[in-house]
Amino acid sequence: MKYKYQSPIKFQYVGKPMNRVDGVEKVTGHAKYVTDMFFPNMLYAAVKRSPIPHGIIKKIDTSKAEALAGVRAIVTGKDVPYRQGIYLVDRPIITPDRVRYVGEPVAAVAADTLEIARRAVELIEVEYEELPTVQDPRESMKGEVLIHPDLANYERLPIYNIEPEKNVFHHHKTRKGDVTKGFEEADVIVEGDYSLPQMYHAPLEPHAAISYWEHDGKLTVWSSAQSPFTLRNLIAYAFKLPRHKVRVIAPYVGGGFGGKAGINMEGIVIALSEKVKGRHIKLVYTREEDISTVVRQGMFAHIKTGVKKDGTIVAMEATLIFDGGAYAEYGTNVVRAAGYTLPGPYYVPNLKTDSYGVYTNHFLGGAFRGFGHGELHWATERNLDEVAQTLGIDPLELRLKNVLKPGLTNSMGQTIHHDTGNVEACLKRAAELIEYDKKSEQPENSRKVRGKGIAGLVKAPAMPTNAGSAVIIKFHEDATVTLQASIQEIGQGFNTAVTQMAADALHISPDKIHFVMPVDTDVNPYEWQTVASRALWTVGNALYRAAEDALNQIKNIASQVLGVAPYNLEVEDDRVYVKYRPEKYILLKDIVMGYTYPDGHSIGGPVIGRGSFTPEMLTNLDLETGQGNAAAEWTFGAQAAEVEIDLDTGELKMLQLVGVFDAGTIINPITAGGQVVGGMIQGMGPALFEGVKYNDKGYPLTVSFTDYKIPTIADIPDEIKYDFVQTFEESSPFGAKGVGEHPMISVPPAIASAIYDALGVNVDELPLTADRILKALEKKKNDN
Amino acid sequence: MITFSYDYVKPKTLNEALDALNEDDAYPILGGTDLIVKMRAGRVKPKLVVDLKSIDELFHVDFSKESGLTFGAGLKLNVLIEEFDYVKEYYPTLYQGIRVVGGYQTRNRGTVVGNLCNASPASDTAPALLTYNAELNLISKNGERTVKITEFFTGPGKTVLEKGEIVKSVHIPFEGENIGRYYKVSRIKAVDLSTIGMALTIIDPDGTRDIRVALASVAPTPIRIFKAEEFIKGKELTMKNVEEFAQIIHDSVNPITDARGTAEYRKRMAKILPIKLLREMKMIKEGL
Repeated sequence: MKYKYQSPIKFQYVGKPMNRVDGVEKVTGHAKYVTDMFFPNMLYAAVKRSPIPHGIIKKIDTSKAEALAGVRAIVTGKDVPYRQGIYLVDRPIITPDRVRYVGEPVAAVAADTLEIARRAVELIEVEYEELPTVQDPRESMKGEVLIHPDLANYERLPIYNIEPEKNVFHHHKTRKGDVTKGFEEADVIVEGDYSLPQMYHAPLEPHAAISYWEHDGKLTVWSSAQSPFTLRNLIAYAFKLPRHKVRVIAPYVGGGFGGKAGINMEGIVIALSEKVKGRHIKLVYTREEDISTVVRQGMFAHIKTGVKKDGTIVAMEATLIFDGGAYAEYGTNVVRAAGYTLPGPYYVPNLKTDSYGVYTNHFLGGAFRGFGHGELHWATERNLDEVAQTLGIDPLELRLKNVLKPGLTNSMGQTIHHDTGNVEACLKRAAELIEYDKKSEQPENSRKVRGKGIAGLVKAPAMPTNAGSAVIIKFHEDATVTLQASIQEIGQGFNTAVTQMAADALHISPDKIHFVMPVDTDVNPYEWQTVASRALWTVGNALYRAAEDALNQIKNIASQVLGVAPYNLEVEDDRVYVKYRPEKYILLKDIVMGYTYPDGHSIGGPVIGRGSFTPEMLTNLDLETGQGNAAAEWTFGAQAAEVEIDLDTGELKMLQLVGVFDAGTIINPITAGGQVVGGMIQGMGPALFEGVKYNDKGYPLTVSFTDYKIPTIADIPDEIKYDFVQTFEESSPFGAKGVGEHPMISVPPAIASAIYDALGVNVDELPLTADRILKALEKKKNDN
Repeated sequence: MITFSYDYVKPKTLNEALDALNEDDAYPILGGTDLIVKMRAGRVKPKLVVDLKSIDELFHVDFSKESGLTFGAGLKLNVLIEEFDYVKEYYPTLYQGIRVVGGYQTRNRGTVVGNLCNASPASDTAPALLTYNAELNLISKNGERTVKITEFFTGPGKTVLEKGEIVKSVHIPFEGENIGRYYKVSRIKAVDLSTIGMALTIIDPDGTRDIRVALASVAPTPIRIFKAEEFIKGKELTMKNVEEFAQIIHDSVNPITDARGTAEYRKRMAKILPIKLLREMKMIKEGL
């Protein structure tokens, strides 16, 4: 069968730069976030937290707090004996009996003012019996200290393997080909250990929620949430409420980066409002509280790669051990996604991966931009560099030799197709942008050296096989349109992109389209979540269907009026016209509320387009082999870096960062560029200095921005360059897929590669601090 | 948010302020960039906060080559380096130290005296002041006294200040033409606390060449390394001598490991930085 794809959409607005539709609202400070919202007689909440990393709660005395004037409600874990969690239900709303990390909520107060609430929290007295702690997930797997003795009894999706006696909340396995045979065929085997610490999302807006429980039983929650519908689902599940009695409203979100996916702190304020019905209660986390709420998991990896002398990879064996912190919940799927994506964008015929998610007494590890891929690529890309060094092959050449191409299979056994994406083109373009073929120009008379490095990447949306989207398009009297899609605007520019896409799908101009904010689960159509770099792709499909539905309704009415078959009609701008006689037309405004004949009788009715989509042809993975069809589409990419290192101090200066991504059709080059630049800077953080630190007893040291450092304008590279390869993704009529997470994924390995180029040393632990760089240099000196 | 109640006064005269500071749990405030942070975290709970910003005497600045530089406690970090050119011209090491305290907004509010009274081992202004032989003029109801900056710090967060006593002004003698560097290693390139900070000042660089060195974040207090200075005094700055000078500095510090760096790295830098700075100042005789 001969097949040649042609998009059903003519692109007029898609692909063009367009200013953000929320730009004016945001730069004038009028955009509303949960923190900006106030209601009459609103109460304020504060949270009492565990000062110790692991212990049994012996006693909670709230009597002094209750006696404080202005206190309206106090809740402890006994009041809300429910657990919550998107994939594994392991996380109490407020822990009733045992604390598992420093900062875990143990009680909460609602009071007339925030000041009273916080004073009341100070008056709550809690007695603990301390338990031994576990810091290192590798130690934790020995099972000497069990963090969740009841793990076996927790509800979970059947796609996860728990190993309760080892503190393992998920063990993902990939078994492809024959690894033993593969290693036998290898000329060279290179193995190494690679690690990184936990990382904080650091959004501008900390977690915030307002809860209002009406006397008639209806619960409304305003939340700074990436996933209003999934949040509603998880609230309803935890509090055992019917879905239609729970309403979640999510205004603008001041940055999420995964930290506001699923459910977070909302349950605490809901528990309070269960006790004070009829009054709004607001809970806004301080920066210090936010830092201890959810983080990216830490990881220890061991990678062993077998190659032929010419650089062809024949086998790989990998163990990833994730520091999942005190609760897994969302993090289960991070462990799985990293497990099934390894070895990244390369073809490895014989592959064995074991990815473990392990409980520790650290902050809980959840979703984070990149969803396990920043972690796995750190290990695999570093290992590939070390393979290249061993073979004496250029690292770029080694990668190009092994990239996934149409006809080859990935780790899950899925076949790569002509429209899957082109990592080879990304690598080549990134090399071009950083002038990889030329060595770095070394500064004269200086004790500083420069180097360049490159790394590849891939990521698919990690989501359930049925993660659906829906879109509603409503026409108004003047043929303007409101568009409802329940993806959250978290800074990524979705509202703008979807407006451009809707304009092309409906053949009308973007200024006639209004994207409805905020997302309100009582009003909006369903959307699984704003995560996984999936919105353009999944909503693109639903949007196309909704637009077709609306256009068909318009054509059906016009067909009756004009006496022409619907297929001979076309909608364009303000009218519907006869294709072969364009001078014959009706204005849309005369038709979108139904058509009224001169004598007054009417046909049709208000036009409302409806479109739904669920990923096509996905399957769960086999629990023993990891084979199956779990990924719907992939975005490939490559990143490059040039650095300058001070030989005396080990201090590193970023000269250049480059990113090239194959995200299919680029809907809006301005907002896509913003995503890419922002992501690369966010990726620099964990590369160079970011990471949660604990002392040896499990107490966090990086508890505020004083010691949790993120990049500032002084740290960004002299030059940031990016480009896009645009392989049309044929599973979407727009050909588009996500690029939100990808820019931060391979920044760390690209920088580490540049350090090697400059100094000839490998640093395999993140972050790449001056201290570690100097140590590696010293080791090299001693080895010589 | 500050969750406890406290009283606040803003006296117009030093006398009134000193009276107020004699009350129980009274704390002085200037920029508040340390005090408010501590109050918000509940680490300090004053009953009375005494705002010194309306006391004219604390805003006096005076410089002459004969008498040196004297500036009042109220002078903001940015005001001192942006409005008084002689700070940059005659005290280059101090200028550089002030420029890397916190972020720009912090320097708009914070003061040198506040930075000293906070007594952080990581103070960015103290090392330079140590190399310039600064003196602090202290005042309380019991009278005034002058304390050398080398004797001011007694431990992390601790100084010789007594109950009701404040630093009224800082005096830095002008000991002649000098060059200097303040080098700060930190995790990020701005708005950070030091992993290690080193001030190196050379008085009369073309003549007697009096080299002074002081460090931050390597000991319980900012410290000056007199032993190293004495060693290098009058010696030629050959690489061998400079290395020995650096070794003495290295051997004189006793850093810890914390969120900002490891003891090992700090110790290593204590030896590397003096060589780096002297090299960059083109003071070393032979070779790179």
